[in-house]
Formats: sequence, C-alpha cells, structure tokens
Amino acid sequence: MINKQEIKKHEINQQDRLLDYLRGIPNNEKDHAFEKQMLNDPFTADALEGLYGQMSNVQIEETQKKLNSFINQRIKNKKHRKNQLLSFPIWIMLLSAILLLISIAGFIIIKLLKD
Amino acid sequence: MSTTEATFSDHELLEHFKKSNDSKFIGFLLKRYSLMVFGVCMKYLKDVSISEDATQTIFEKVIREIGKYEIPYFKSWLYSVAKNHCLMELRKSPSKFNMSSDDISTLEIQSEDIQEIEFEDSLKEEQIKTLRAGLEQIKKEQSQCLNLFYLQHKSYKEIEKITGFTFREIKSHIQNGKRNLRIILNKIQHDQ
Repeated sequence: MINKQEIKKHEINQQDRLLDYLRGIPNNEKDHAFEKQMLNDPFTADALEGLYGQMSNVQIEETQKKLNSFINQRIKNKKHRKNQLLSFPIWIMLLSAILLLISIAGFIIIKLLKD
Repeated sequence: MSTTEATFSDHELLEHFKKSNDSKFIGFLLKRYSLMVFGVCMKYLKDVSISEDATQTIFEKVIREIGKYEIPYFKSWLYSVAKNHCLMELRKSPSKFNMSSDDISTLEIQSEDIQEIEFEDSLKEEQIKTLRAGLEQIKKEQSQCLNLFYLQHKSYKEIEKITGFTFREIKSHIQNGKRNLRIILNKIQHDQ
C-alpha cells in the first residue's frame, strides 16, 4: 500500500522524472521504473506520448519556462485586480451605492406621481 | 517556487489556497504540471503553437474554476480538464487537425479506463507458469514485449534495440498485450 509520503514525493518529482526521461540520459533501471509507473498513469503517459521525439530538449525546456512565466503573470494579474478592488476607497463605494438608491427611489416616486 | 511550497503535496497546496484564498498556491500547483499539460495538448493537437495556446487556456480555466469545486485529487482533475479541452478543440474543427469524427471518437474511447492485468513485482512459481502459458496464446509481438518488459525488466529503449519496434509500437503492444492476457488468464483460471 502506497503511503502519503510516497504520494507526495511522486507528485513533487514526476515532472522532473518526465524531463529526465525525455533527455534520454541512459539509465535502464530508472527508465524501466518510470515506464512501469506510466502504464498506470494516463496523464504522464499522454504527456510523454505528446512530447517524445517531437521537440528537442532545449525546446521543451524553453516551452516550460514560457508556460511557467505565463502562470506567474496570470497569478500576479489576478492578485493585482483583487487588490485594486479592495483598495478602492470605501467611501466612494458607499456614496455610489447611496446615489444609486436615491436614483431608483426618485424614479419610482416620479412614476407613481405620473400614475 | 520557494523551498517550503516545493515540499507540499498537491492536497496541501489546495488546502492552503482554500484557507488563504491566495492564488500563489494555485500557481505552484500549475507549474508542477505545466509541461505535462502541454504534453497532453501536443498528443491530441499535434502542433506546438496551438498546444501552447491551448495550455494557457487550460490554465486560465483552472485559475477561474478551482475555487468552485471540491477536488479530492488535483492531478486527475487537471488531466480531465486538459483532455476534455483538447477533445473539444478537435470536435470544433476536425479538418484543421486532419481528423474525421470517427478518429475523434476513437481517441475518446481510448481515453476511457480499460481493465488490464496487473503484474505484481514478485510472482510465485505457479503464477509465472500460468503467465507463460497465457503469453503463448497472445500475438507474438505482444508476448515478446510483455516478456521483455515485465519478466526481464527491460526498458523501452532496450526493447527497441532488441526487437526493432518503435517506442509507440512497444507501448501499444504492452497495453494491448496486457488486456488480451487478462482475458486469456481469466479463461485459464476458470477452466482450472
């Protein structure tokens, strides 16, 4: 039975193992272990099938850097938008809400008077 | 990724995100699988530029939706998001990828879980005997690959050198062989 520590180690290292395999550094024992694990892991199996023999090691590493950079930027943008919303002065938001309520009330009153 | 987050499991990173609502934990999770998601896209979409775009779209979707669901196993969830996105892209414009609807349906079927035989690391003498009997009844190339991989513990590269099969052929022979062997071994055990 696989314990939690092994699962954690597997999760942390699997992309590195995939990269090692793609780099083709000969190590029959490690390769065999990776290939055996992959037969029960469709995610890794599909990823390997997509990458094997399609790109050079340099291209793969550059793509990984590009994708990680995209993730960093996207997370940064998300935080920035969240901070902008939170830093918007409360009094402006309250004032806007009050003005909106007054406008709606005014509209309803005018409509009632007309009727 | 800082040293501390690098040692968190996927589950721990998700829990930290839920508690703090800090997206940096999602960032760590995605970077852990960024190349694998790209690899899945390459498998289905077969073009580097299209796959990069698809990967980024998948990341956007994950960042947007991860807070909405209870995700017991992030890796499986991410894989199904990635694969479904690719299959959706293929269905939208099959001609762009030089595929027919039948080709796409075949890909969808291949993606489903298939019951296969499990090879334990240490087999008893009796089990090895039964296994060898079963191997004789399946296709020669499947039997050869299963024998080399499981009984002789050869890597794919070694099997390539011995048999002349390509990487993809070896993978296919092993997967199909396992499936067929299961059927035959069930029959053998039933007859005994």
